[in-house]
Amino acid sequence: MVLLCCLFIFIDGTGAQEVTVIRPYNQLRNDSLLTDSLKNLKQLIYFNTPKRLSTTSSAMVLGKEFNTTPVVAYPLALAGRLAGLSVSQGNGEPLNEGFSYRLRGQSPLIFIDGIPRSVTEISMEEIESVTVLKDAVSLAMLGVRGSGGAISIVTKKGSPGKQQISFTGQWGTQRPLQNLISHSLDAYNYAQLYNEALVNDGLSVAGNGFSQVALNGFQTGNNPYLYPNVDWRDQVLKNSATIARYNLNTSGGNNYVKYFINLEHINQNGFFKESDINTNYSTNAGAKGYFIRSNVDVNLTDKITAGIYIQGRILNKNNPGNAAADNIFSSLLATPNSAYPVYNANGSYGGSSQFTNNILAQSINSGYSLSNTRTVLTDVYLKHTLDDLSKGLWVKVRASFFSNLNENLVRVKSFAVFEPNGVSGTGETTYRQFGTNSEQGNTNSIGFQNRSDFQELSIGYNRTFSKHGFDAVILANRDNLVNGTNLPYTIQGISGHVAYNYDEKYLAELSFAQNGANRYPNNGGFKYGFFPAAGLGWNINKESFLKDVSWLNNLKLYTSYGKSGKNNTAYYTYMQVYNASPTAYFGSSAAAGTTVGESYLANPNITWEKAKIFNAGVDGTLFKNQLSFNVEYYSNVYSDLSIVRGNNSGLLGISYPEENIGKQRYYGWDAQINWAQRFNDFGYFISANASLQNSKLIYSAEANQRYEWMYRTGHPVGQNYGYLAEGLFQNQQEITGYPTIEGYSPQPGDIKYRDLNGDGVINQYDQTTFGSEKATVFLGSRIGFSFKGIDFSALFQGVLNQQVYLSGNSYREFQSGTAQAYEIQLGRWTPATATTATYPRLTTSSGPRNGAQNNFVSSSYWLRSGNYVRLKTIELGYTIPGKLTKKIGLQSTRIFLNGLNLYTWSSDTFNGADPENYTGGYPIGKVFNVGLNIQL
Amino acid sequence: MKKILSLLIIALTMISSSCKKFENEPEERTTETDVFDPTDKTGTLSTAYLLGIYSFLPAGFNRIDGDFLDAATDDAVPSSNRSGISLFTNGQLTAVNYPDNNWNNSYTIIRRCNVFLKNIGIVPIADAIRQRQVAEARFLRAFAYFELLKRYGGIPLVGDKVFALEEDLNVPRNTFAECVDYISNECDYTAANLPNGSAVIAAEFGRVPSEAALALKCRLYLYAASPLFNGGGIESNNALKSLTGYLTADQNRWLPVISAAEAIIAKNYYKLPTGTGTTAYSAVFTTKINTDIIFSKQSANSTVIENANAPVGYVAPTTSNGRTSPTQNLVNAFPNLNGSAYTGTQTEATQYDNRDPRLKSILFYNTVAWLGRPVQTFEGGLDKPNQAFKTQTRTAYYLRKFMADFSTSTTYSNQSHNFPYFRFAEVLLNYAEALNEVNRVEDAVKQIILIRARAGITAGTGNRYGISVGITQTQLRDLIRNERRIELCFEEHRFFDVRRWKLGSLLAGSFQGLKITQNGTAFSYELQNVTDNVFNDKYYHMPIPYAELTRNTSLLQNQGYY
Repeated sequence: MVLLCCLFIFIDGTGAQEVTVIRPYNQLRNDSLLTDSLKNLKQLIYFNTPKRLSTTSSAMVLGKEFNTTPVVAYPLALAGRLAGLSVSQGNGEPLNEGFSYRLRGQSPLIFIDGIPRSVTEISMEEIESVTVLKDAVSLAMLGVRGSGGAISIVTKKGSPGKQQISFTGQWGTQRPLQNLISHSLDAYNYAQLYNEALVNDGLSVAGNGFSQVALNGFQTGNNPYLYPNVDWRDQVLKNSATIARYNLNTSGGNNYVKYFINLEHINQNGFFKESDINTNYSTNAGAKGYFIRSNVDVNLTDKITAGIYIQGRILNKNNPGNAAADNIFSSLLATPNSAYPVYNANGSYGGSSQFTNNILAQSINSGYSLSNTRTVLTDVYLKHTLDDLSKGLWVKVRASFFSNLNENLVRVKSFAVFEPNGVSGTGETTYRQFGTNSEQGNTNSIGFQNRSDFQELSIGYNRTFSKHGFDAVILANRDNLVNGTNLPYTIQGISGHVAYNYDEKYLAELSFAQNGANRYPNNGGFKYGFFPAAGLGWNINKESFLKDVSWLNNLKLYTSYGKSGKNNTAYYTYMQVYNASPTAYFGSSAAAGTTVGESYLANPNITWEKAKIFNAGVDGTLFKNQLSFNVEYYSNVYSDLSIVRGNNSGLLGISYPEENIGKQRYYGWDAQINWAQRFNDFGYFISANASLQNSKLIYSAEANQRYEWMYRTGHPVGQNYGYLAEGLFQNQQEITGYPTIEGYSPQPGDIKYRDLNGDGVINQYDQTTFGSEKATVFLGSRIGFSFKGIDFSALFQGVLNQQVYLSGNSYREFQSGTAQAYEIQLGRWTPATATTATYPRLTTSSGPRNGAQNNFVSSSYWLRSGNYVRLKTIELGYTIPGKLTKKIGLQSTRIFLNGLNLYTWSSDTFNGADPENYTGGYPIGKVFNVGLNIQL
Repeated sequence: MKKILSLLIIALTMISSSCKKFENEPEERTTETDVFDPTDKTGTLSTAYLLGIYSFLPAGFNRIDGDFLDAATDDAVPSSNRSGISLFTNGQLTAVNYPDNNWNNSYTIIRRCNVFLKNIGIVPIADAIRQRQVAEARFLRAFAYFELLKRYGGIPLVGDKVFALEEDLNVPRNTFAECVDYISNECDYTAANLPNGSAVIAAEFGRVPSEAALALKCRLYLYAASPLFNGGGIESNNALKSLTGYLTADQNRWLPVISAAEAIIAKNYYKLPTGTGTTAYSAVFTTKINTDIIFSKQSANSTVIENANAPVGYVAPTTSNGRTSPTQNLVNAFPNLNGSAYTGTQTEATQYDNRDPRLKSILFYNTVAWLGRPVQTFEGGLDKPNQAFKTQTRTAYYLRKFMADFSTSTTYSNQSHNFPYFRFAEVLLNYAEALNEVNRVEDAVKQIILIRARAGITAGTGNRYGISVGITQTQLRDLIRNERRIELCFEEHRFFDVRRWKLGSLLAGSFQGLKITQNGTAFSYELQNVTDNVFNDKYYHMPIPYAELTRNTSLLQNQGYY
């Protein structure tokens, strides 16, 4: 179980010596003191600065605060914990959660132990701390990768002392959260509403709709084969699934060696029902992860330390069909309850010529596929302190290798569905077949494979002369990625940082990077940029006028400003390249001729995007450090953004390439406040963070608009665009007195729009940006207490001032003419219910009076409030008194209960649906979890 | 000291070991010097570049949201209620939702031709080949301009220019007259420099013959001389009027139609193939190489047309979609077998007997044989099941033209389905129309007789094929227009012909289909209105796509559109 890798390099012939090494900060065995010391240190990838001496903006959360969260990917456990970081989850499918994380509106880069890695599933127990880097001084050293911010994960290393072994087991059950705003309609209501929609659209019910016989059939259910009423969601999904995690880790060390070794297995099952017809394999969408890490640091001599960190992981994902979980959920939205029965009278799968599919067969009778991802990560470093040259000087060299491979094994088969189409002479029903039953195939393919190597040489200096303190580092690094068949992508450069403080009162910091990437003209060479940043800070509480204020422990003002960049990873798009054009046929046998043409228009002026990042803030602790707060204002301008210009004319005759012309500004506030109090056995804490984010589109070469309200420039980035709605037309008189709509004759129940240019016609000139332009507010709050052996904590996370746009076949009726309809449509406009209508008149999106032409265009009618606050996690634990457990040799034992996504308060818009997944995707799970942790 | 040194050496070797040589740029890619290669005597890739331009030529058949362009005319209605083609006929057409936007595609062809013309001089191919290829590129460019001209009127002419990324693209529209002159000059040049149809070998079938350039010139002047463009513009302001047509009428514009047609006939290669009647007419579209097809869009052999248009009750091997519902109005246009106009019943099965043989090649009607069973377009029949969600014919007819004869087979097999751009039959019809307009009535009659003879109409007394002796210019004009409607139906002519004749009223109002009820073994037929179409004067011209107006501030929109 224990892998102890020791590296002994004898350089000068003398053996390892037993000498106590003094670190910049004391590493103590006591856990809470370690926590406090970590909390007061900013670990900013290339340098560490004590919080009180730093002018940077960053936020940190310790791994032990979230390492019992029952999720596979760690970003999901960070939601609401760090001011400025917002994490959202698209759906609940294990290893396909569609999550995205944004830091101050941008996409940050993930670093693990100081090396950039886009790895989002590792063992939770490995994580010692997660820090987000937000300002120019901390990001400038990242050069052409820094402008999106960074998330830095530091893994646990051992510490000198007795070996500690910890085992944790967690078992939980997941329940699916509601993933649609309203339930789908039963077949009878569906058919009735469909016929009504046909009449609204000017089509005949006789030729296109449901006959009275069919309506009777749906209502009475007397012939479920011909007039079915199937709730497909119940057919394919079950109401609970298990999740389990097992973790074993050990750490320890002495004055020569320290180690941390971790093994973990996580098993998350999916919500699909399985069937007895598949005896040898599973068609559920589950995931299993196996993680192993070994971090070993060695003191080779009193001056040289070395380390080797190895991580390996295997992720196995099972899927119904060929990674078909998403397809099953799309089918659920596209298939009404009246479409076809699950099974026909003769036992074959039901289907119809319109829906040549059977959703149950799609799930259990399509075979299965496996996705296997294997990753290996290895870091080695060698560090030499050069105190004999100059006290505080050190040099370090490190190298790292990373390899990642994903393989898909596809073992799928197809199925036939049958539609009854009459009765034969002998009175038996005849069926028409669609599709075929095939044997199960077996293929495999590589999904993706990439590897990278990284080298870094750094030299640092940390010393205090009387009142002047210096901490400096300069380094050179190179990161080389090889992905599939592409040529290597390399980023390399030199960067450095100097921090100076005078009497720990006045602070100044400088960072810079001279760094660039390859794949630029000419000849795929490097393009370098210089990215400087500077920060200033003032610890006001050390000034004489505040020295006597006893309740004020720390008060610091700080600001920073600098440049950063983001490299465009386009693949040599400066080269004008030709490839095979669409096929052209020639000759008497219609042979495809060889054709060639431009792939795209080359842009020889590509460069990296730039950012100018400004941050200013105040940080303080009061009342014997029981209350701490931090408020910051930031304003970041991103320029040379790679976009296709807005005024791209068809006269060019070829698609425009991306050009570096865009400019946007993101600005806002981040705030954090913590209160913690302790009385003997009882302690409690309350903390909250809030982040206000706003943006502005400064330039995008927008096409000429005739009126100034039609421009998107000057409004927040990604703002909704369309018509301004003013309710529904209630009657014909209202329509005749109203401006005409170009190309449409409205009827009562249609949405009416505002005529912005007053020309009496509603058309494209009456479109504008709509929706709130106020800042979006991201909230998080953590409260908890501990009393003797009991500990409790709860995390709330929410978003305010958010708006959602409702559309698509998860909300609207009869999309494409044949998809589902929902209970929300029962509130539609009819002449009788005109005054209480909450939805426009129904339409099938077809016919001479097709309502989709008017009602389903982008407008403010469909924009609703999307605010929510969630009880994200809650945990209650009990540590069995030490004297009891020590009798059986256990240092400590803790049992705990926790829950994830247990309750959400959300705007009425969602009607109880999960505010992050309300468009019918794989449901996110609410998890009830029980666990046990044993330490030896 | 030694320790530091050894440490540094280790560090440096680690870093420098990565400075090994590798490819700096992907060598496997094809660049401009590979395509237009000064050392390539055979010009392999430059020829491939030219052939690539052919792939951008417009497709035909069911190209507008799954429907024929002719489903927006009085010839047919779309079977589906949700097809974008309805925007042309339901009064909802705007510059924003215009479904036939070929602006980008045409300028892509023009750009590629200009790139080719600019660079072909570098490649050391034989002069004869170079002359042919240059002419091909110039023809394809002229064809792209004509496709823009017939929809929008005058468009920006960019000449030989290849635009760069930073150039000013606010190019104004040229007048209609300038565009016609430009295309005409290009046609004259290319007609003189392309090989004759007889000289294009079978392996190169599909490449432009000289007669295609003459056919383009013929059609160009046919449109330019027609009432809408020849001084009859609907615009109130002269600036717009000169963009969409000539300001004043001039009968001499018919003369180039005549000379171009005569030039094609004189080359004596393209002619109406031998054979008469239904099978001869069908064979024009399913036999890949025949002397009626001058220039067509080449495609692989397939069953695409059968699958898209055959009656919906046929499922071999996949469900047919029956997209097009020809109207009863089209059926009424077919003359009798002897060539006289049809005046008989529309509500009996007998209306299909003793008619122009082309009717059986163009339409499916109730009880005709297909894939081993009769077509059932009566209410509730296999081909008109009246079920929810089911797209089916609205007129009890389906489109049969372009399909091979599968009436007794059990399944489809791949057929040649090349969409014809220029046909010899069209040349004869253009010739006849122009001759009639310059008052050479009897010469025009001779051409119509050739068409009718191939169609299988009986010769009748005096070999007049049903054309009365002493027919007047006005009567012959109507006859020629009707003959053109039938002969060239569903080849994207009717949509533009009705507009250039300024007969927009033909596209308005209700069109009819049949409602057939089965009573035992007999059927009863009833006429019913299937659509209520709208036509406004602004529909004579198509709107410039709104997106283009916002990017090019020099463009003027056609009258009536925003």
